[in-house]
Amino acid sequence: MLSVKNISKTYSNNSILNNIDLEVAHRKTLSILGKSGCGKTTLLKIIAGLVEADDGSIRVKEDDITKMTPQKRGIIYLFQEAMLFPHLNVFNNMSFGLEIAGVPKLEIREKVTHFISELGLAGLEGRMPEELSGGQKQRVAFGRALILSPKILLLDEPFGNLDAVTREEMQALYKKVAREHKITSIFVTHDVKEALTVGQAFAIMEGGRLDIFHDKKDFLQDPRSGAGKERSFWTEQYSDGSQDQ
Amino acid sequence: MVSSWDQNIFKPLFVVFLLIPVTVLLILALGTQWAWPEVLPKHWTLSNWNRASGSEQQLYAGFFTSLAIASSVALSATLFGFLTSRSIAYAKHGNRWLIAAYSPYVISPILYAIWIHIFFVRGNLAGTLAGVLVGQFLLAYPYAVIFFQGFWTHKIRAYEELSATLGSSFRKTQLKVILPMATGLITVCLFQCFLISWFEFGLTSLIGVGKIKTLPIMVYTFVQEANIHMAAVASLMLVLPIFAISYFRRSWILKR
Repeated sequence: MLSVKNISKTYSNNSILNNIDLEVAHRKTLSILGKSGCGKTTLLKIIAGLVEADDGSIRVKEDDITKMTPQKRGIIYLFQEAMLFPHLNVFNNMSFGLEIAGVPKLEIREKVTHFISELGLAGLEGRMPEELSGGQKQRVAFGRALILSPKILLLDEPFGNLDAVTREEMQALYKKVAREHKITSIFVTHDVKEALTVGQAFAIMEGGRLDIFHDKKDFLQDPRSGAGKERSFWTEQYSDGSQDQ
Repeated sequence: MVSSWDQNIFKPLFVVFLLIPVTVLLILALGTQWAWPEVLPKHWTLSNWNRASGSEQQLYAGFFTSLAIASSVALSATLFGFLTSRSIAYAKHGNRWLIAAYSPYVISPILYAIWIHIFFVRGNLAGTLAGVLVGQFLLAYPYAVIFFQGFWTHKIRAYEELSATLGSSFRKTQLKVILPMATGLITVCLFQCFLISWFEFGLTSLIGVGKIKTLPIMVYTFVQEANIHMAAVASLMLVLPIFAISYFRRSWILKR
């Protein structure tokens, strides 16, 4: 579905991305794990058309979209923050893309009402962004993107600012919505558990290079994933706990 | 933290300082035969205001000239300042352009006026309304550019990017996302640019060469002629609309 070949990017002689290759199958989510500054955001922005790559090509199905404007790619980029438009209420935030596309008002109303109900936002249509919780804001941001049926969804640590409980709720919601709406996506995170929860394919990004793991086991065994450390930590905690008793 | 004592003292002091000059202007504009040591004038009359519209004084004409110039300057400087500030904020070497925007204020407006005057003479703009408009625009426009610099943050850029991936063109993004988010700042900038133009004297005097009679030019002329009553009427026409606009602007901001 999405195919990225040999993407490179350099800023002021600093190589940010180095010959990145990746493929995401239709209806699948590729989880990319990486620390801050490893080039994840630049990669997503290049795929979305917001940053120009120095080299390489991007294809969606058979179409080469490397030189296409962001408006025409059908790829939506979701930021770490919900980035709701502060002057619009929940309903108008969700309908933004449809209005831009010139969809008839009646159809907009039907679609928005449907998504509001699906994302558990019923009753909040008239609320302004500052009146919503972090989780509710992210739901609206999801709705605003999903309502446009994008070909690809790019999620740049979308739950990074949420508390642990809300984060888990949002991960579950994302999985459900991704399955129901047949979403193809790249999900960037620095949390190995989140990567495992939402993804079906996995990758680790470090120093501008991307390593893809087709097998979950390989991903877990790679020391850079941090899964081993995580397991050791919990094993230690449990053994300490049983000794205390 | 401001104590209640500070508030009790400084608030009334501020109002008194603001009201004293206006009160004196009102007395001078409405009174006649105010000789020392009388506390107030002997007669109160509207004759000064009636004279203001006479062919000799043409104060009302001056008022509307000032209003037209200040409105045009405020609108154009805010619009172009907003767009230019975006280009500068996103430019690779934006700071160089920003330094250029500070130049009218760094080298002093009057020196700046003397410097640009020659171009106005050669361009046949000296002594014309268009010349004064351009001259005042050249003062207010850099101000607007500097004013909006703080607005173009990474977050605003992120909103532009998000809007683009949601399918919105540059024009629609500016109209439907960025402008509504900047409404408060735009209003303040419009008001500030209006003030710059409304009270502008030095550059208007130099470029207008006495032919373009704005209110500040008229106030100065009346003061030179020692015509204190007409100077007071002209000054009130200069300050009272600003008080009114400030009041409505404050109510509008509080309402929002």
